[in-house]
Amino acid sequence: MERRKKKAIGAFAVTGLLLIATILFSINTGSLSISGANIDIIMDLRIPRILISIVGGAGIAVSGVLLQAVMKNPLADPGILGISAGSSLSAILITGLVPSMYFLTPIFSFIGGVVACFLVYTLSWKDGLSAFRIILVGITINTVFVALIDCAESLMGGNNALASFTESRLSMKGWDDFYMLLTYSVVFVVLGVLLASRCDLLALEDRTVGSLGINVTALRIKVSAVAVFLAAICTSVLGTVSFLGLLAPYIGRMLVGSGHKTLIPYSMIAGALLMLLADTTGRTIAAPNEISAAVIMAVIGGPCFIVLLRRASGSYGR
Amino acid sequence: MADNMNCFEIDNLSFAYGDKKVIDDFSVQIKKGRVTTIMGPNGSGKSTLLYLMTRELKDYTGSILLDGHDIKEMKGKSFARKAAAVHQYNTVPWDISVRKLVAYGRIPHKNLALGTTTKEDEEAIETALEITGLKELENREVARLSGGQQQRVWIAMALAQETEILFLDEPTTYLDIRYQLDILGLVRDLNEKRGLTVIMVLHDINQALRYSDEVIAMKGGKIHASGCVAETVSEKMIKEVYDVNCKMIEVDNMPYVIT
Repeated sequence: MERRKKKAIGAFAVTGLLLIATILFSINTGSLSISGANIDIIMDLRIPRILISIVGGAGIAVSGVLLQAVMKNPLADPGILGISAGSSLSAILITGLVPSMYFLTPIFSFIGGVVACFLVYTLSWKDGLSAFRIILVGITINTVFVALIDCAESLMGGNNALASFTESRLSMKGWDDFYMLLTYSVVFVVLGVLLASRCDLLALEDRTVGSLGINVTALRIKVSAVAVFLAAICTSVLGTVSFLGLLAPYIGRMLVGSGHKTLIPYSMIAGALLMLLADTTGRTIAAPNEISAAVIMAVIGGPCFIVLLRRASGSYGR
Repeated sequence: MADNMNCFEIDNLSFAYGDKKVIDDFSVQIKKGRVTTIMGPNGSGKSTLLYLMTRELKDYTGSILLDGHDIKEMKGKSFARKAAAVHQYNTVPWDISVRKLVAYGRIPHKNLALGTTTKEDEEAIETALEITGLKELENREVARLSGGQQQRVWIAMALAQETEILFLDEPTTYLDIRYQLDILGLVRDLNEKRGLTVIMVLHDINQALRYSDEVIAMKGGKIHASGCVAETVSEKMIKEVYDVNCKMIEVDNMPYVIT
């Protein structure tokens, strides 16, 4: 037990230091060097972008942890399951059709995410939830939503403001986006942390949790709602980033264990680190051209997902 | 006075899965401080009856009273402070320790968002670990224990709930004979030394004979017979309920059924 605790503390320290190092590296790297004349531009463009990556990455990772707890499935991820795509679709529709309601985008993103999540649940329910059926149904829903997003964009003339919903175009984001993301994320991450000890219970059989006096269905709905809102709000700023919500918690379970009181905070740090690494790599690897962070995540995350799929024996948390 | 003897009073209970009637106009009383075993063939509705009493199934007609209160109207946690249940099939995360799992038994007594552990919580957990003989294993991972030890962990979790009633759904199903007797002996002890009311579902007729005070024999969702073991279980009853010919014999003053 003591050994495990030391390992967890070590993991927090190392990941935290890596994050700080990546932040420093990221501030110093790019098409403009840090010098007197450039400071303002860097403050307006590069800093908010770094902060958005950190907060958004943390948010997506927490969303992944919560979805995995609710679905008892270590492979659940808001991107793969189509929840991010559902959010984007609904955000695009509202921006395209009723531009005056732009300020309500987070709410509509949330509704789109809820619809996607609900579809995944109900369509994959057949005498219980099979780990692989959830993934298959989720991938299908994701594909359909992505196609619908394409349709919507073509019909609306494919302008850039719309495209920013679907792709991770962090280069166009500024302080306003960051403040919006931060406000919502803080609220929902706090809610997620308050649910942490109850998330642990979801790993037990529903019947057993029920006899402890817990209403399992109500708990599932609460945890899902927090997960979907986090995914929706992060997607509306970062675009769809798949595999992040899967990888950060996976690394977390290996290093700090399956208890959510430590897994959620660790996943936040790991998610922030992975997202910032992806974005920084994307904008430096082929400078002055940019590869979006989502593409980098997909290139690295895809193969990892395959490895996890092959190792998953259907047992949650392993 | 007779009312105080009973913990559960079930009246005209009926329940159906879809249009398939599983419990059919069922009435029975379950006595406080006794070990009651629900027996009957597969599909007779014995597990369903247990799930109805543990509030897992709620769309029933008729009434189930616990100490005079309708269980439908009780809050989840207040019911969980009166009755604990050990289910037949359980799963655990790979890295959870015995102590942490047993501590979950305290959930009905506290606020989960804050999650503070009081002195009473600690005492209840210690007692549960000691009764079930798990004190030395408290820091081990549950997933690495043997089936019989794991079953003890689930019982310990239920004991940490500090209830008057303990439900057990086929507690011996996945265990070899040594652990079966070990678990049933523990259950008997809990009843005799701590006054716990035990209500369980058992498949093995001989185990039911040996470890219970009362039986409820079910057939086709109806009650076939109920009462104290010696008066209720007979060759005739077993023939009628299970459709099996058997002989009852006595060894060292204990009745046994031979098929």
